[in-house]
Amino acid sequence: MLVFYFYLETFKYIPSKFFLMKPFPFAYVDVKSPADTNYIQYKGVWDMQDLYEFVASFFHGQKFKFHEKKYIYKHPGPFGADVKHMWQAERNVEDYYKFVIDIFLHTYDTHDIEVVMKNGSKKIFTKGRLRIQLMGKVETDYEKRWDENAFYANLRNFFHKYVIWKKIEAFWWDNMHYNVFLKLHSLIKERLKMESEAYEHRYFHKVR
Amino acid sequence: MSEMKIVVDHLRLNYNGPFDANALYRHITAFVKEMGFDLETQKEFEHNTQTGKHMEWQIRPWKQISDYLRYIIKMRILIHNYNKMDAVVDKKKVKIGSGKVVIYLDGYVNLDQQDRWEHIPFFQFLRTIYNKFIYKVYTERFEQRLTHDMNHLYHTIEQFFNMYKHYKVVSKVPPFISTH
Repeated sequence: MLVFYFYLETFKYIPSKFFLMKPFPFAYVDVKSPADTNYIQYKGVWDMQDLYEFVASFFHGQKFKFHEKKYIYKHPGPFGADVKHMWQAERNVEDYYKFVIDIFLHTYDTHDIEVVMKNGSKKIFTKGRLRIQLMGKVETDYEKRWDENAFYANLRNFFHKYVIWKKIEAFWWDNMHYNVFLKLHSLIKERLKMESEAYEHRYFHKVR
Repeated sequence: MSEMKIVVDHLRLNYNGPFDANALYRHITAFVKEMGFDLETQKEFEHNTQTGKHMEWQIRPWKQISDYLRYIIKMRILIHNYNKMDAVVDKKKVKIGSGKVVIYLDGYVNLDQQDRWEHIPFFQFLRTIYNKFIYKVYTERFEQRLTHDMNHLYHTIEQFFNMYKHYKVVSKVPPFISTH
């Protein structure tokens, strides 16, 4: 019986999988079209409070809802404290799609230092290491209306693949990537006073 | 996995002397955009140390040529011991950065980027035949264009650094001419 089963398995015939060209990459089928992940790493002195407020105000200005999903504070080691922040900002642009930006901010070997500003006032800054991971995506069908059964899900995939994938790729994704994601990335660099700060999309004309 | 063909392998540029890191970054991004590439930033590292700033940038400009083919440039810029110092240019004292730069450039041609001919070995074989024999003239032409673009980029970066040959660090100019 086992031999017979093996025999059947060996000659299993899968009709479409091997003989048809792969139709489209998964990105168009999936409900999320991912952006590239960007990393910023910094070692030195920065104003953590200012950075925090800046990121929050940036998202509020762009009509996003900003959440702090996780805040993990580890007991300080010999080199300083280790703090992990996980932030998420989302904006329901239309009924069918939304922008989601995830930020993972990890500060380690940090300690507070007192800094004298140009006008003579004193402020508390943070000295240590900072690592920021930025991820952005456009999420379609975020209310999961087309997830009720397999037929609806396939219909949605068809809709993405053949009807609106140009729109997802060229309009929605671009809008998220250039007007929000890269803008935030550049403004964080500017805030940290990094040498590579240059925001080339500042004067992006936004004409469609 | 689509076919990634390396065309320019580890083109390297070394420079040690005065330059402005921010101007270098702006110069590269502006040039890449002018050439019609789209920019993807992969790494932006900056470490302030006792000897100066250590920076690492990794950018990946890409340009869509057709549905089937695109150019990808991988650029890694390493800057060591970057410090701000006084320099003399045209008998005037200016503040300028100084340090050591190493730039690596890799150029790739990405064929069948959507993996549509990747599914079974027979398709891969067809794709190879197509690229190497049928589409050969075009494939080679695209490769030459990418090589040309990258040499152009290399040349402009060299020009950018040559701009600073007129800058002399104050500590290396014994009889410092004060403009005041």
